[in-house]
Amino acid sequence: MRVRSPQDLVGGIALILLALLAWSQIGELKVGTAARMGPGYFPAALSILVGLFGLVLVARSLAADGPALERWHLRRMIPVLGAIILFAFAIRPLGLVISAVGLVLLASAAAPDLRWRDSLIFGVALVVFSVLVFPVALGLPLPVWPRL
Amino acid sequence: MGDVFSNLALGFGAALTPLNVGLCFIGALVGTLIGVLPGLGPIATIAMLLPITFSLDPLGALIMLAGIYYGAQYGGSTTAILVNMPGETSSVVTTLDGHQMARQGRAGAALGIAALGSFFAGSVATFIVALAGPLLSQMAQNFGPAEYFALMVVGLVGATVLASGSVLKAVAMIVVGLLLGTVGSDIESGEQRLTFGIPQLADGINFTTLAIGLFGVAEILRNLEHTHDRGVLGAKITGLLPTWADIKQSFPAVLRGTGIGSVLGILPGNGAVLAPYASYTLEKKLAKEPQRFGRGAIEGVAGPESANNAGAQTSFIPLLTLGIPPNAVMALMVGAMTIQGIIPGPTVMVENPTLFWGMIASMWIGNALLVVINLPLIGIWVRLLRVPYRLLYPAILLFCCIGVFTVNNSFMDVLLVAVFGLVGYGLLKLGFEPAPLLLAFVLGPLMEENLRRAFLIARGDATVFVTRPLSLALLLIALGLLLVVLLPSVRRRREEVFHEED
Amino acid sequence: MRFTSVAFAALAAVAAWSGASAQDYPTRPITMVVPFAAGGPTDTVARLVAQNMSQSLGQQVIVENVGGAGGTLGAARVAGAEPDGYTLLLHHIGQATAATLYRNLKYKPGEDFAPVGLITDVPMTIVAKKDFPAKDLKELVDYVKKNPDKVTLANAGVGAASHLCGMLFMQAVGVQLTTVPYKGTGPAMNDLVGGQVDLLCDQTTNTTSQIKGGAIKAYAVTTPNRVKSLPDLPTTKEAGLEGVQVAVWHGLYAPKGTPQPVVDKLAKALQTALKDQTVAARFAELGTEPVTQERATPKALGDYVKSEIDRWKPVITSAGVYAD
Repeated sequence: MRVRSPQDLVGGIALILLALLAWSQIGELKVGTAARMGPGYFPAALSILVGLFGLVLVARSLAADGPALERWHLRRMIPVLGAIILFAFAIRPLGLVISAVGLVLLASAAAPDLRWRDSLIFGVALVVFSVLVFPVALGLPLPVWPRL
Repeated sequence: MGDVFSNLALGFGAALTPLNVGLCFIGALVGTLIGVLPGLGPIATIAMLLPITFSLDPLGALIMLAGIYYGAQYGGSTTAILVNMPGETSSVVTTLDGHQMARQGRAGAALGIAALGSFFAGSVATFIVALAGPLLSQMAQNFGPAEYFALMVVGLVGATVLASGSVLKAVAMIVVGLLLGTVGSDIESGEQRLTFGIPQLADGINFTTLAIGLFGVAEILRNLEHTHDRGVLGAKITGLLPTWADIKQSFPAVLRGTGIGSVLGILPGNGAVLAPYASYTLEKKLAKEPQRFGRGAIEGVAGPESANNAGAQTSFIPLLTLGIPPNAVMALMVGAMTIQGIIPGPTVMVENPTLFWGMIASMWIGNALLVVINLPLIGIWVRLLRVPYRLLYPAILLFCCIGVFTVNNSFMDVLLVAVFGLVGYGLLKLGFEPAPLLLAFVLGPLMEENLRRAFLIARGDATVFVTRPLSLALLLIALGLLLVVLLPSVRRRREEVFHEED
Repeated sequence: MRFTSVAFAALAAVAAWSGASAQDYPTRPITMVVPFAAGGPTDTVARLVAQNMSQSLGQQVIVENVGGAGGTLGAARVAGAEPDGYTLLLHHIGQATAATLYRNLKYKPGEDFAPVGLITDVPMTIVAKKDFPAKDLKELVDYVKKNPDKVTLANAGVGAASHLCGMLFMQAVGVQLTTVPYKGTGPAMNDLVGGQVDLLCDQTTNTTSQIKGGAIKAYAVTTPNRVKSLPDLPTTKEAGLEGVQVAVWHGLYAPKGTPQPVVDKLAKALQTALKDQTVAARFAELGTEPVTQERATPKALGDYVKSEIDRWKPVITSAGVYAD
């Protein structure tokens, strides 16, 4: 059996894994009957459906030709996602200024044609703009400076 | 009929004072700018600006807040077109063709047709509200849980049409979206479902978080891959406004979208959320060359945008005539009215005609102001796109994170944006499309809630869905739609099979 | 020698600074957390009070909506906040009921807060769809007793005031009706007006305008005395139904450990707000009024919270419905 569509195979496996993950979380939720659906009814039914689609997709990957797997560009992904995560953890304890600077710097690192000086200057301007607009002008409850 | 005109005259008289027009303008401008910033939505803005309205008179306050509301709708469409970030449920559909048009250098045309279509739809909808508001809200009362469920089924069947690729994968996305929609508290027992013990997930995944991660962040990641494809947003801009040919091509879509939006917006319970999707489905199915959709078909922007705006206007009807807010933004309006001393309810129309008709008149004024504000802004936005992408995308990311954070003051939401960004990127890599997922995510909980409620009220009697005429009608439409959706693909597979045998 | 004097000076400065903080409070804007979505009744009460308190305290009191999990997310946030008087909580009856409804709470409603004062008591009303076959409360109770399977009772979700009131009603009448939950009052009221469900027990803030507009039928109010904005409605006691007494009370809290002078300043500002004409007028339109000055003290609130927790514990446990 040859894998004729690697993309479909991986996609199908991903769906099956998702279904298993969801199923594992159902725990003690009552499923109930169709006429008296409990909280677990939809999650259970849907997990099964997702799993089924996963299986169909895996089957199709073996039967029909399809696209090959595309490369994942980790070099681009990690700084961007890392920047968001950094912001998430920094915003409340450290405030907007530090979190924003961190986000801009880290995210910029993902750019293929990065020029540090440009990004730095633009980043500072951006942070100043954000501070002026969001907490000051709009009055949003964003912590600006670190909590001492 | 004469009554309506004299009432409208009363309304325009009240709404056209320099102060009120000024407030409308400020509201629309602020709303647009807020809507443009991905993440930050009308709810947060209105909540922020509520204290300012204390010093205004009731009509002025409501005019300004309403201005923010539809300004934000329009601003959300702007980001959807320019950077593929849908800030609201209503702008998801706009990303499909709107962003493609932007990539082809036609951002101006997309933005322009969205503005003009919205204006047309808004004017018509305002008229409908004025003419038939109370009557329509009476009719909408016939919509019970069974009917809502059937309507959601129609919506979900139509969701497959949102995808331009594999139907199998689109349906898989719909099911995944439904599954994601179940995360949160169960409505009947309050138990946590699929929340992994995280308290911030107790009320479910935030739509904004999901949309920004799945669409916006994934888009940024994809753009960063193509070092030489600066043509992403730097393509030669061909004109800033839609051409007459564009307008002629879009007009039928605008008309149909207006109709769909006006009808769906009246349904209390946020039926308006379906409007842009329904319009897109309709346009794609009616088009002579459906394969243009998903690749920059202008009807794919014109129809949904008009449906959107029409729905936004008519969704004021349940609020103004019954005092029942159909969605979270309207609930804020209720709060604002209450603080001003006006208790919204069936009596507002009679006891406070100036307020009622003044609001309606200002809706139209707001729409007009939005066109005035937004058409010139197109030039600015398009110029902004010329900023080198390596500087632009950190800015976009920053605004998104700030915006998402302010929705609930929760760092978890921002974290989830990263998670969904990763998921969205993965989906793109695996050939799945996120739009059907998002629609199913929104419709799923509504569908489940209404299904269970219908059963509850009917004491477990399943025939209730077919014995109630409206519900039966909708289910038949869903069935029909299912056939329409599946048949062409069946025919295509058979053609493929035949070709292979040659 | 020099070192010791510098140390002393530093200590004295720090002591003076923290002491001064309490004296000069407030020196920056205060956040009032409302653990529900903006626009709802609690939010409205909060904004009215906050606006007035801003004036008497001399610093902006900003309302921040931290919704979710029936109000417990916002409450948890304040319970864990710095007890410096710059983070407050405005919560309703849910503060007391959460103690029983949520079995895995990360904070203790009765202990982790420094009460500032009670704000208002919003009466609840028993209402039905327009064509419900009962003329008054007595007929309603009879009908319900005879046809428990045919009657549906709506509520705004587990832990909502309407849910609690409905629980009380069913326990008082002694029947189990089909409860139909909704995500909030808006949808529940909508279906009631549309005739899709039969009964609802909800706050006057939500029901008054519909009653006055004739969209729904009202049978009684759940307070000891009649309500001014609905003078024709009998109280449940008058109409013969014992044990259905509930009002949605709102209280203001600070985190436990907030210095007493700060709490006192806040209490004073709160009382000033409650005496204000505009605030009282708005409350009146909502069908409620500010509480008496005696009830608006920190101690009174603290005691009230504890008594409410005790009152609702058996009701909730016997109904057996929890929120987690």
